[in-house]
Amino acid sequence: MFKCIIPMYGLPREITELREVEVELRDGATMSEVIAALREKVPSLEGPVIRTGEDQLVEQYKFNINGHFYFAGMDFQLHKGDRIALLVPMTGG
Amino acid sequence: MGKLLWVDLSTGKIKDETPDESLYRNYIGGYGIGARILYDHMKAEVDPLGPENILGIITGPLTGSPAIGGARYQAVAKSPLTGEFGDANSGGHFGPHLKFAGYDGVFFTGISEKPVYLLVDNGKAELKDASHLWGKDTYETEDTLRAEHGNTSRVICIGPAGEKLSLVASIITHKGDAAARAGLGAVMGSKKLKAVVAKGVKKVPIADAETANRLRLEHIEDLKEFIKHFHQYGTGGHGDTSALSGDSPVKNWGGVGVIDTPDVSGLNKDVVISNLDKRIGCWGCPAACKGSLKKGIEYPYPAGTHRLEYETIGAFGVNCANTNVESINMASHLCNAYGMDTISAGTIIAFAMECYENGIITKKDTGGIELNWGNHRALVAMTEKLVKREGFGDVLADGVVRAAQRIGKGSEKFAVHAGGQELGMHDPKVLGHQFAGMPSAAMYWMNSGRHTQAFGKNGFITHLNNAMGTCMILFQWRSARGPYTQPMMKAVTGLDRSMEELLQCGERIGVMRHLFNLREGLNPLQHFIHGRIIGRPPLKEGPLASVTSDLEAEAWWHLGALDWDRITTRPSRNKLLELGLDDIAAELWPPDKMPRMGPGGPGGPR
Repeated sequence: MFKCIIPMYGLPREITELREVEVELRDGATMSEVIAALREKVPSLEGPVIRTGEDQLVEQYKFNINGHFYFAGMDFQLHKGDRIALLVPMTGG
Repeated sequence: MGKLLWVDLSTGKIKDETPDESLYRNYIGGYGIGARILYDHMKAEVDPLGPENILGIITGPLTGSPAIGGARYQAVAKSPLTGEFGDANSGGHFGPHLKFAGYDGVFFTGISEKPVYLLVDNGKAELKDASHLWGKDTYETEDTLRAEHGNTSRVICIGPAGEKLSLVASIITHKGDAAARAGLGAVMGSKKLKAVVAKGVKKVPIADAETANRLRLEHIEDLKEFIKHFHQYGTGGHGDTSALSGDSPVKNWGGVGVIDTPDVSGLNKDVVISNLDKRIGCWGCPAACKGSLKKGIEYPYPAGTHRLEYETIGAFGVNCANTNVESINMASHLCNAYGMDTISAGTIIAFAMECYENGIITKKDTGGIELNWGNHRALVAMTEKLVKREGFGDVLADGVVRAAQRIGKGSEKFAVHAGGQELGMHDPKVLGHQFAGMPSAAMYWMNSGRHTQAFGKNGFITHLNNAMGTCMILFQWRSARGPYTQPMMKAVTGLDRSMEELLQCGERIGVMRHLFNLREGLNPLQHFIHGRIIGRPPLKEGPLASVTSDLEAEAWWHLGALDWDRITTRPSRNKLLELGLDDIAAELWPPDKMPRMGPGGPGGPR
């Protein structure tokens, strides 16, 4: 397990009133595991940012991991030392 | 290197400041100096329309000098439209005259109890009552103030849109030259500051006047052919070709010119200047690319209305499926007289038209105006309501984001913006992809486009040019990479600096603006950019069919090249130190949180 700090921007920051959220993850955590950990730590993200009852982001949200972007439907494995942020989209419409 | 003026509108106190030469050396002028001063003098998260916001009006070292295009000033403040660092840039005659009046720039703090204007008269500054001007349009305000203070005075002012705090309000000078972007007219309105008047006969110091004048003549000779065309048509010479090439957005960025507006003969360059009375120019400009129209024919715009610039043609033209140039002249006049950004206003009308066409709003909402695509009478009628904040115009008057919030019913999908601001009229899918993440989110770099800033290293030259106070068309495109910038800066300022050093100033300015936004807790990677702008989904027909911008890859490369963190976008400590921003490096990268070798480390700040 390792501790991971996830910076918050935009709406997630307004909801949480936090600039960053610390979660504990296993080595190789997937996107759904990160989302589940976020929900557990900050339940208010469920609905506007995390799909209700699902370990998935609401459409248009994405993660930035080490500078690369991961949208809903994509997956990753997070390791200690990786850097991650939750971002609202640059794209949409 | 001269003086700055500080005006506290809450107390009425005015003071001079003679900044250290390093401020000019490091930040050049204009929004470069503005970004540093706002960072140093403002706290994070202040209300953009509150007393703590600072409004700067700043010239550059080449403003009022022999450099061609050296006629510009810039306004800076925290933008009430985007919540980020806001700047707007204007030509005309005011910038040089502010220097003739003895000042390089003016910074306003606080809020006045009653409407005032600032008179800067040959080294003396005074706040004066503006009750008689409040409510007047920008033409009448300028006429009244020049009648009071003489024809040698020059004026910047807001119109009723700024007074009514429209978040897309502009600052107007010369009856039609606009510092229009970022809603800075509303900042002026919030401060109850109606105008600034500058007059004076002080000389702009030129270290080596002989060389500066020689460079000017050589530069004019170099640009002879370009100037001839530009004098004839100005920026409005390609409204028709841009409509068909994919350059101009069509039908609120969702259409295709060759299909939706195939006949653009109404926007031909000769039609655009068909009602021209005379050509006019900014101070000292050999191109004189602007024009003054005769009284309107089909629409009642007054004699003296400025001839159309490209951006206005694009915004009120094919973006609204409109090719009637007289209606665009009228809409442009309304925006200039009431003090509103034509780019935002045209985009707002296009948004309203698309909402109307899709049944989201009806005649009942619009007060009987049938806002169908291309209905130029409706376009003018709604623009009049918009600039006056009347009826449905009040719903629209703060930009498309807020309009969509007020209208609801799914209208947000038609709100085309980037980071909260309506975009300039060049589709980035045509000209380049350097888009995401500028401090003023919708001011993007587009190769040879209209706007002023880039994301990435291409921005350095533009930041330098803007901060110098020169015209991006006359001076930057035709000079900055060539033989004039460096020797002209040397001749005017007396500082012998290499082009590399000057470009580093451009980088420093870009970083400083970004640091302002970082301190606000903003990350440009989370800017909303409407899918139509970048082709998600791509258009199916026309010259841009199947084109999609790869923003994520772009962000990766630009952030790496800038040495900014690819997640937080924070510039590295090394980059800040390289730029001499040691104080901010210590702030962002506190020594006690730096990675350590040995037991306990590494553990750098997040």
